[in-house]
Amino acid sequence: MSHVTDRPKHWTTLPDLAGAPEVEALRQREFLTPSEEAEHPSRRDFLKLVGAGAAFLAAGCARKPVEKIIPYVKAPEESSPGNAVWYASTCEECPAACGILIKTREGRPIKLEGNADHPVSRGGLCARGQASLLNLYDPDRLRGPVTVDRATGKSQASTWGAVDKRASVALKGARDRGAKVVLLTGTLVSPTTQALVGQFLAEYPGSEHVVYDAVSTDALAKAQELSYGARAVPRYRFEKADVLVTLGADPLGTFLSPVEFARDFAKRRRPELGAMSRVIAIEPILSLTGTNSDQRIIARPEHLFPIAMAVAHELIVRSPRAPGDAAVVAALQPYPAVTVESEAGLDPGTIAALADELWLARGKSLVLAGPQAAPASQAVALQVAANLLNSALGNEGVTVDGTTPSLQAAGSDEAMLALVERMRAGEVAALVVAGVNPAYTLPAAVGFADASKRVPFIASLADRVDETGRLADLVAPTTHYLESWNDHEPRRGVLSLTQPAIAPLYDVRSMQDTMISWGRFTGKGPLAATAGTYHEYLRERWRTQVYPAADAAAPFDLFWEGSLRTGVLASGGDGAASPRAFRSASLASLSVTAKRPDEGSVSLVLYTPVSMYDGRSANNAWLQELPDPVSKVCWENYAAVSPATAKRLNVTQSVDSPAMHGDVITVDVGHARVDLPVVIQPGLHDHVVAVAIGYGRTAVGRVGDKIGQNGFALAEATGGRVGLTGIPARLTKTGRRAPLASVQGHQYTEHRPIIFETTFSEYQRDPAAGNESNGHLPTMWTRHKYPGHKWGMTIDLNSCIGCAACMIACQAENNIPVVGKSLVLRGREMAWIRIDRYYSGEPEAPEVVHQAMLCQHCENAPCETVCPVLATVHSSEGLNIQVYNRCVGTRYCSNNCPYKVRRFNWFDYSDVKEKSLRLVLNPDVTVRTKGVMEKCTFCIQRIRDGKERAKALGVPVKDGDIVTACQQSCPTEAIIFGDMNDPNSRVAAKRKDARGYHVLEDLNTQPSITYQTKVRNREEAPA
Amino acid sequence: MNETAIVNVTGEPLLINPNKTFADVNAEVSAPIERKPGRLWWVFFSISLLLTLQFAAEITYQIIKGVGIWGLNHPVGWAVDITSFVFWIGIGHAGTLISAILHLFRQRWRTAINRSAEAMTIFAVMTAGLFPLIHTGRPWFAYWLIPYPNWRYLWVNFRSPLVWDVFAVSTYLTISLCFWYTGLIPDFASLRDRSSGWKRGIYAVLSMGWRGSERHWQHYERAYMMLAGLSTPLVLSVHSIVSFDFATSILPGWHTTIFPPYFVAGAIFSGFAMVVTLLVILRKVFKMEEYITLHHLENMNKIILVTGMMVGYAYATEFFIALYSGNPFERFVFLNRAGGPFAWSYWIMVSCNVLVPQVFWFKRFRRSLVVMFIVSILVNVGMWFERFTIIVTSLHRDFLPPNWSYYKPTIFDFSVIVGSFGFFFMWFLLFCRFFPTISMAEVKQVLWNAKKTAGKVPASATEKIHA
Amino acid sequence: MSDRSSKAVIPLLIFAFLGVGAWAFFDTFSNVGYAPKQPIPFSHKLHAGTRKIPCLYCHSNAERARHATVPAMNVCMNCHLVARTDRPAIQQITALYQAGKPVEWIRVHRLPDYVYFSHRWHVAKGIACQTCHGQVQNMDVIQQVASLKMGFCISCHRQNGASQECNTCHM
Repeated sequence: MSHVTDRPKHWTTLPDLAGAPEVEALRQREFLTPSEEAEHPSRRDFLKLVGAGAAFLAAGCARKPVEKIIPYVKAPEESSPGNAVWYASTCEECPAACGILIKTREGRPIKLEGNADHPVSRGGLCARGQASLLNLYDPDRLRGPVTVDRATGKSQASTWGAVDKRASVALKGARDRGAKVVLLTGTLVSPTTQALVGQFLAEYPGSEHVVYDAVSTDALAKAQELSYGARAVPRYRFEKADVLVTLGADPLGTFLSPVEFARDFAKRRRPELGAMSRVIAIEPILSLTGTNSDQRIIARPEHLFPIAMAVAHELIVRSPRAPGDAAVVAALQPYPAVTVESEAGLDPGTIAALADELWLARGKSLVLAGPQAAPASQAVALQVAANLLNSALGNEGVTVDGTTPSLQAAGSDEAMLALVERMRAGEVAALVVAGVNPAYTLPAAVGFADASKRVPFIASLADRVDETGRLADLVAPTTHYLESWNDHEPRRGVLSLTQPAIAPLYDVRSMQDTMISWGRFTGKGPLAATAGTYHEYLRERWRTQVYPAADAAAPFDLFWEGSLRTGVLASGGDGAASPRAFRSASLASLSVTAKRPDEGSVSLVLYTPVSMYDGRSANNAWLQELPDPVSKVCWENYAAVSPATAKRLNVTQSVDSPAMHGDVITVDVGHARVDLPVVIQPGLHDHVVAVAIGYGRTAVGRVGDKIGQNGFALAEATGGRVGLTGIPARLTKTGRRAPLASVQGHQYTEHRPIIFETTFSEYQRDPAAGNESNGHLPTMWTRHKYPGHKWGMTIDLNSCIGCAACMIACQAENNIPVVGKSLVLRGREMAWIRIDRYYSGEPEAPEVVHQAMLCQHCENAPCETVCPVLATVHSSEGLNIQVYNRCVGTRYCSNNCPYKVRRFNWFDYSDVKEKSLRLVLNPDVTVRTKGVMEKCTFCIQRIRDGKERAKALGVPVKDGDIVTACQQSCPTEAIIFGDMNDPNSRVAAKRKDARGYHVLEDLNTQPSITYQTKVRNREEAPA
Repeated sequence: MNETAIVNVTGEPLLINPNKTFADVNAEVSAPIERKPGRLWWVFFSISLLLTLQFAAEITYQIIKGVGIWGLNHPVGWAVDITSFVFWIGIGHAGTLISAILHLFRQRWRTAINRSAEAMTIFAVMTAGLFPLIHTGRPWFAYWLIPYPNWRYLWVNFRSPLVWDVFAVSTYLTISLCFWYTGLIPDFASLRDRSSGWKRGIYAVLSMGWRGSERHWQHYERAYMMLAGLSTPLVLSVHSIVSFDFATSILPGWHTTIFPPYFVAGAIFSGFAMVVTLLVILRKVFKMEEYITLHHLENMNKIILVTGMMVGYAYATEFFIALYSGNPFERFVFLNRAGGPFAWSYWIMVSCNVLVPQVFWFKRFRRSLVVMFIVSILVNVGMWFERFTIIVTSLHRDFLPPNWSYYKPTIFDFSVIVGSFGFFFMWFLLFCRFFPTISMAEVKQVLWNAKKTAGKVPASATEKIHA
Repeated sequence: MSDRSSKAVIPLLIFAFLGVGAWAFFDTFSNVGYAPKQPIPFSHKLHAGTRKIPCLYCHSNAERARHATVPAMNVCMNCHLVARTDRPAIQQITALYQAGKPVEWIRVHRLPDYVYFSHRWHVAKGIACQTCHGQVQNMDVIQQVASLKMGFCISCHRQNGASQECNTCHM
């Protein structure tokens, strides 16, 4: 063997090649003398060498830049690269505290899913919960503690040592002067955190804990106190309600615990079970619950209270059926149906009918009033009226459960407003704000900013220098809940744990840890003793408090391990509730200045949007690009007015483009005014203008700053309560027009075979009622054969409430890029699954259907025949496959898709500048590059995973082994996925159901998705 | 010379003045090539060169940034790109029709115009070919549309009309090129013999050693006839196949059985219009009035009139069928075309393609240079909008209303439109400068007949035609 | 003269042909033979060949997941805490290990991101590592022997009657 060939590494790459002397030498001298050939490499070797040189030259070109493989130094036990590791935890995006499972890959959380074992959420997870994953990787999070210059609001990087020192000086000083230390937080669902707070404050005599929620249930709790003696938020049992009447409440959208409520709600919307609940929404705006109601009564916020009273009047006074003592009767006197109906502009008889329906369903009905649905002055009164109705109807203790109350909301407006007053009076020496943002969420009129100037020391415990942080002296950055320990008690008896799925990405500390270390400053008091971190604190408390109560057989360590594994510990559970006696005195105590709105004025309704909630995650691009379930507009808030009002104001809204263009109007409430583009919203009260809160933030980050206008600024604070509705407003046209990022081009089906619906009575006569799918025209071709699996999906239009959880779930699972407002305006949004919202009936009072629309995986897929390069083909399991790396991007498939569910990468969206945002990507899903088509894959990676898990166990795939991301997140189980070839699968059964139909069936595309007709629980035939 | 053409015994106008000698023909046809280009030529050329350069810039930027720079959206996946593709392919049709079909039918009046018509075809197809390429999201992989043995073991999807396009267009280009070149050989030879120095060298190579011997002529004639036969079916096939891009889809407004004939008629229509536009300029700029006579142009205008009416008929048919079919989707699409947000484009199409050509019923308009120039341009505007209407109005409002949208072109869309015209004219102007724009050889045959009919056969009937 | 000049086209044709040929050549064989110098002169010839250590002893992840993975350094240390501690390379790796620093190996075998390949099922089927990685036990320096291009995968799948559907590898 010649000495050249036994040193191959010499010419692996270009530099080496250049450096190889004998190569060069031989290159120079082509012809060698025979003698040389003897000892030197033979000619053949030489030729080989040159040839190889060429090959390696090519290799060198193909391999720049050289890639590295970096192994673990010490491999962690549980993880094997390429396999997911799951952790049970609890969602802290809102106080509902739903149970979640965290999917991690190589130590990164990449997906959140509902925990089916959690008694509150039971498997679903809402859009905001899903999206809270992205907050973990938010590049605008604080990387470490900062000090803030109050004058300018500028922040400057600091160290924990410095920050802690400064805090200790301030806090100690306050304590020694005996001055007031106030801790301001949102609702703390965590018993352990509450205990910690107690101990923390115990260090500072005279200190105070103020709990404040921007989206407040204060009025509700207050009314409960008046009516039943104890301040609490009862547990509402939708699954027990035959008749549900909402007064401006949106339990399916944003009220208290949407996932829990949606699941219970859906249980009673299954016509195949022979009975169906009836839902009546009395509301000024078209809420998500309203879109799912069987009857809507459109009323101004000011009229909700009178209407509630009038219904009670019907039941107790006019035709006495329900019990009611003299006090009650007296209180009801001013509200006979006729007067209220004429005032509220309702059809005569509406209230009587309502009362009768409720009475027929007594003991099995539920009256639910939104805590902020009525003007501040009436908010409590409305709640008391609702309590009266529920008690009079015998719902108390059945659908309204005060025995195991919800602990998901404890905020008090009164306390908050009082705090601001004391701050202004200079009575507060030190203020520690944790997890709330009053500077943004309080009405401008309250003047939190000014009041804060009188507070010597303010510390903000938040993950960024938000609006409140800018008024503080320092910001102690908090961890994301995926990085921290905690526990939660969303409902009495339900304990769920939060455990970290990743070490803190930055130099940050959980709010509790910060409190512990600050609590130690004093050197005496309970916290001085506690040595360790909050993790140990939590574990210790569970050992001493929870473990004994649970009387588990196992030793604590095992008990603890087990609790972490399941993520939840339910003790007691659904015990029968005992009814509480209604205190009729509470009615008398109401001093309702029932203000009569003059017909000329318009009342402003500041509603809580499904995507933004109170704006806490305004920097979350997934949520910003999530269209509103009703208006289908994203990246913006707007002034919604009814068609009639629009005509009156002479404002229009064109849909003649990917972007809607709306006139900009000024909403003026006297103490504040904002300019907003108008959205003409069917189903709105003619004297109401609706504006979403949660937008218009100024210190949240690069994504969320200056998106829309701040609705809170328009709110009012009267009678110790923050009012978001019934604020008299004046609307004026500015003459400017602004584009609105709307993702839906047209709002009606135009009588096309897309949506089929019927009424419950019709359905009972004939289950196929309203299902007009008449098959397709005869075809020459035989159906394709699918010997093995045949994946399919059913979507029940009756269960789909349009909450959009599936959209975010899909986005997280499938690495779907966010394109931003400018591109949504150009019709470039990328959602694989979208929810089409159709109106029917007349625009004043429309009926609504939500239809999840995604790739139908047609057997005769129009997209497949036209692709010139076979980039989209059909699999033997009935999947319509898109091969990204084969796609050249002719877009012919999209043009030929009747459902238009394919999305095109107009630009390079995969090139994410912020490194941290790349960590959220799902490594099992190819990231699509510029110029290729993409679409729903039925979560093909999950199908593979399910099959591989079965394969590893050597068992066949069972129904339910494979769950798509959208199905998993769906709180109402409207989406079912499975093997249509398996006769026992749920999907196969559903497909046979008489309600099943295919969208655009006459095209004979043979979709793999079957929809089920919408069934409305009302008598008259569909409009 | 005065425009009242000399007529032969049968009253049919002669195609050329019989007083000319064969030498005149050579001299006058080669003149533009031999003399320095006039100012007018430079003006036209620099404009089209400029447009071409900005076109190149646009394409470069687009490849770097992505197709998104166009106004396309979801659901409008095609607009200006495919519109222009179909438009230019259509333009290309006249060339083959004139040279091949008229040749087979022995239409001698074609001789003066077939050369430039064929040149136009080639350049039009070249321009058209650019669009399928640049409209893709990843043009650098566009070669995947060509079936070739590769290490992925993958073929193309032979069911896809886009693949048929690749075959149709490339075939069309190849055949047209051969046909054109074959026709050029004798004239290259004449140029070679007239020129000197490096020019002579180039023309020598191009003329492939043509000496004008009897055998050359026999082979030439046979080859020419054969190519004419080959390319005749292409006139029908190419645009039929292009129309399949739409006809075989399921989109209302695309999925239409009359598309193939409708598209072919439209193609010939626009093609002839473009030829007229070019010839009117050509004969003026290069003083070819004696060769491209009003008689030629009038014949062209007659064809424009006929094909225009065919197109009009197609419009009426598809509209009627849509309404008559009772298919709600079809019905909606056509009502939306005529009355929807893109009605303006629909009515531009109807007025330019159906109404305007009607003026050609009148002889004096058929023979008026001004009128025919304006009409021919309007026709091509109309034909561009025909494709735009078909493509965009069908896409922007299809099956599911929530997808409904609108299409707004961006500056880059306009850039490619004007760019494509610049590209086309750049080549055509170069052609006028360096190639004989009129087939000398064939004109001489016509001239010979003309002399015969005019009884002006020169004393030496053995005069070499190929002087 | 004209006849001669007409031959001018022939060289053009030849160049075109060569161009296509060269392209096909590189398209086919690029990366084959890539054998970069590694930071630690680790010899598979010694470990897998002479010492007959099974591949899966170090690349144990290959039977558990998609990725075979380069073993974590504690795996090396299993032996080399005691074995051959006199060798400079071993001292080098021990130093890194104690410093908690990983070795930055240079990647040889690489599939594009849009290819889903799971070692697990190929190992489970009993496909020898050598099928794709070559006679590793004879290599002092690891080099790529198979093109690892689509055709390479397909032909093997064909021979073994494995799935040839697009979504087997692309999803």
